[in-house]
Amino acid sequence: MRTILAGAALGLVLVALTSAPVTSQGRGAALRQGSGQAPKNGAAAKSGPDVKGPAPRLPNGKPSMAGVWDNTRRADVTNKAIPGFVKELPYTAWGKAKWEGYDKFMQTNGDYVGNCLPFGMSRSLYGPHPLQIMHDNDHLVMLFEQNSMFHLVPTDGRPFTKDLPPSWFGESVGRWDGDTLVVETVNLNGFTRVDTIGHPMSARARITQTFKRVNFGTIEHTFTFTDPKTYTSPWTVHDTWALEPETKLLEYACMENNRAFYEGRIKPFIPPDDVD
Amino acid sequence: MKRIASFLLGVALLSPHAVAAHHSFDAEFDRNKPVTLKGAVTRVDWGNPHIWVFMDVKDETGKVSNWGVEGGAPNALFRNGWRKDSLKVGDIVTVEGFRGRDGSQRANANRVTLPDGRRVFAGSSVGDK
Repeated sequence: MRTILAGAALGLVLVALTSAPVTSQGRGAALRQGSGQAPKNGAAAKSGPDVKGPAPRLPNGKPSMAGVWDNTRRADVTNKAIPGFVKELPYTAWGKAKWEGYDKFMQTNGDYVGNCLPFGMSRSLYGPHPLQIMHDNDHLVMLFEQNSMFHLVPTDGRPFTKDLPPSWFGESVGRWDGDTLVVETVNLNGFTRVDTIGHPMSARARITQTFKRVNFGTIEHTFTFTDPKTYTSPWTVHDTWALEPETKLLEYACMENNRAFYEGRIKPFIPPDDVD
Repeated sequence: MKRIASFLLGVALLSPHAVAAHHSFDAEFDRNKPVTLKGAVTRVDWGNPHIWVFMDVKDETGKVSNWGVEGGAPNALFRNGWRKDSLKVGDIVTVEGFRGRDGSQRANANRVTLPDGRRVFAGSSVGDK
């Protein structure tokens, strides 16, 4: 019953948020590669919004981050070919051991995403599938096409929930710094990796994201990772996201055809026991 | 409809990027074991996290065996011009890809040459960065 009520409440929130200023109508044939890349079929919103125009505003006067965004694909946050990369990850001894001991072939302990478990915040943000943001005065909702996951962010700067069990995406709270939305995320379970290549993290990680909508068609986004168990100092990824007004999110039922897992080529995921 | 599908696949041909890095490529496939498979499509499973195409392949001795070939994520392939019926049972295709790490008759498809001769991107994450 509790689950049903929670689901109904979320549904109401999402219905309410559909009145946000930006709607998305389909991605065309765009590829998910790199930052700010235009759709490849040359059909980029000829009659769409003025992407150079002013940022849309919420009823409370703050910028709305709503829209479908070309969230940059990053399989490796240190890849120098992708602008905004991290120059060097400052490992602690524990973090260095985790990175150097990582088995990328995963023949004994499978990749959790290959098990269709949640990608977590960074691998969802930097994944190959689109992100839609819905936004009203009180909440920002991140809709990740990858695994059809959502993440709800209250934006009133409230305290984090006491004694909440850790989770794949953690708990997020937003606050405004002028026209920049700052979102802090804590209470992560430590089971996730930073990116596809497998950079490590622990349950002590704290993620700080900033969202600045510089015009109708652009968000400047930062992702700062603070994890004293894994890294000696915080590090930040910088991105510029382009609005994709033609893109429509599609269902992603991860386990419906996960033959690699069914047939044993991807091994079951064994959660680590040293992430606290 | 067939003409539309052909045009859209042409778009995919022009856009050879990784679109389907659901998980680490190396966990399932061996990038050092390229394979080319030619044969008739026997089945297409269009579903997440990857589409699977099955095909009968004849080896050098004439023995026919059925291979399973993993393509990209259906949503990404759709945006690149693929449709659920872009490959049909009976189509003769050539797949260029990489063998599974376990040596089974499974592969990851990087390119597919269609019955009309066009060679299109199939959504492999082998080049994912």
